[in-house]
Amino acid sequence: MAAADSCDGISTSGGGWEKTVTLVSSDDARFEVREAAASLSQTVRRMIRAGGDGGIPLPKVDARTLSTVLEYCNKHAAVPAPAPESSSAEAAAVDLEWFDKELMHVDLATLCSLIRAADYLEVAGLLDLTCKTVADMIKSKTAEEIRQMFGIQNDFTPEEEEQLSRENAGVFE
Amino acid sequence: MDSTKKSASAAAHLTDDLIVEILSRLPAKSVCCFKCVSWHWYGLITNPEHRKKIPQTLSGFFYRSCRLNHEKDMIIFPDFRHGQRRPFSDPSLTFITGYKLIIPKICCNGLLFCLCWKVYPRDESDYVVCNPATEKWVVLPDSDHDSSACAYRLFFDPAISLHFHVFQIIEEDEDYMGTSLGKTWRTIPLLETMRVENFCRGPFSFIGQSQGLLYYINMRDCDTSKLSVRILEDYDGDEWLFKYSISTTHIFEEKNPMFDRDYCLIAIHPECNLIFFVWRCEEDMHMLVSYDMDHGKVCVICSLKEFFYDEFLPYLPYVPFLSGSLPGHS
Repeated sequence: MAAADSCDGISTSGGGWEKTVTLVSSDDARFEVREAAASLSQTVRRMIRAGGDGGIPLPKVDARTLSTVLEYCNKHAAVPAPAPESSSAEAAAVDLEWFDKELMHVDLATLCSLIRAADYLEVAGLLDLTCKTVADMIKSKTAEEIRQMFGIQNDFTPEEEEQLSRENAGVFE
Repeated sequence: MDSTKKSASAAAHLTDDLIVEILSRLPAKSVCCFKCVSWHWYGLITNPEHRKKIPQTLSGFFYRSCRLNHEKDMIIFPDFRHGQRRPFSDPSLTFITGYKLIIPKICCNGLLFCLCWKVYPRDESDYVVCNPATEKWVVLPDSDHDSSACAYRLFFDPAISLHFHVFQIIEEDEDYMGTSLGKTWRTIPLLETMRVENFCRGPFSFIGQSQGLLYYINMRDCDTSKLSVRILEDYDGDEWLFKYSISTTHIFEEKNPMFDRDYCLIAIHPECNLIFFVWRCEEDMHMLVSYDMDHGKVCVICSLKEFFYDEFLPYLPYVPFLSGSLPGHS
């Protein structure tokens, strides 16, 4: 089977064998991950299907970013199918929320790398989480603060800027 | 590299699509402010395709307008009072065909509920829900209670469901509690000081929503020149929090202006502590006025020509909903 070429196997704590895959970052670090976790990435899922030798290359993601992405995937793939309204499902949801919050305790540069990685790897949950975190971070900032944070040059003339802020001060858009 | 430079260089690599992903998760107020970041961000935010994703804010008011035609007959048609740009091209709603008269009644999160009189037969009408931004519209089916309905309510919140709900309030049935969107309706008791009854025309009060909170604004019984603004802090609770006291004498610069006679409260801004009045400054001249509750600033937006002298016409606050299809209804 072609797909098996990039898949290895490791023993799980339960004693059974779980299928794993090897992902290779842009700086050649190798990560062995459970296939279920790696498949949260649609990009990886497609590459597993396509098959290949010696691990799946991810040339757009460095090792540091990939390890955070995989931390997210490992945690989220471990969540059992939700049994609605059971107390264990609720506890698992709270635990997951706490985990996400902790994972997002990073600076803007790291968040931006994670956003790009989540987009490239197509991990929808992580893309939403990271974009929401950045949105929360910037929502109360001024335009000037945004320029500094995102390294943007102010290319408005003073007249244009005044016109725009007048528009914004208006009662409706 | 210091941390600002590091984050700036990482952020500079975000593609336009990813910046839009972030913008789409911001409150409308922040998005509006970030138009001033650069021409590039201005372009991203105002791009028609991106606007479908990015939260929108109040862009104007629908109202019923009139003019005289060549035969000196009064023509009534819907119109739209807007700020910098109109978010759609057809304020008279001419895309709704087969009707000679369209009267906008309720506006809720980008959808407009209208009473439409047919071209033929002339004495028949329909209720229509439309989205002016996408020019999609749907005729509501007749209900068994149309003749006894005394009021209608439209509910639509795309953040919760893409279905809209129209409620028909039946005259003899005052208890119109029901279930909606999986939540049970409940009665929220008013404080004694919030009850101001005007026996001829209903209470001198206004209920609205802003920044995710329920607002209740009423004229004070003991001092009619003052408005009290309260918010319900918790939707599951009954606790009304007193927020502002507004002197209408200050706003309208006249002695003891009366709610519903000299002015009418029409809307609260969905993102800001801003309320809107229609003020009858002269017998046949009305003004649209905004009042900033945090800073006490009064701003006259425009004058409104009124053909109906005896009552205030509804001005319906409109926030565009730009998604392509008209949501389902029930």
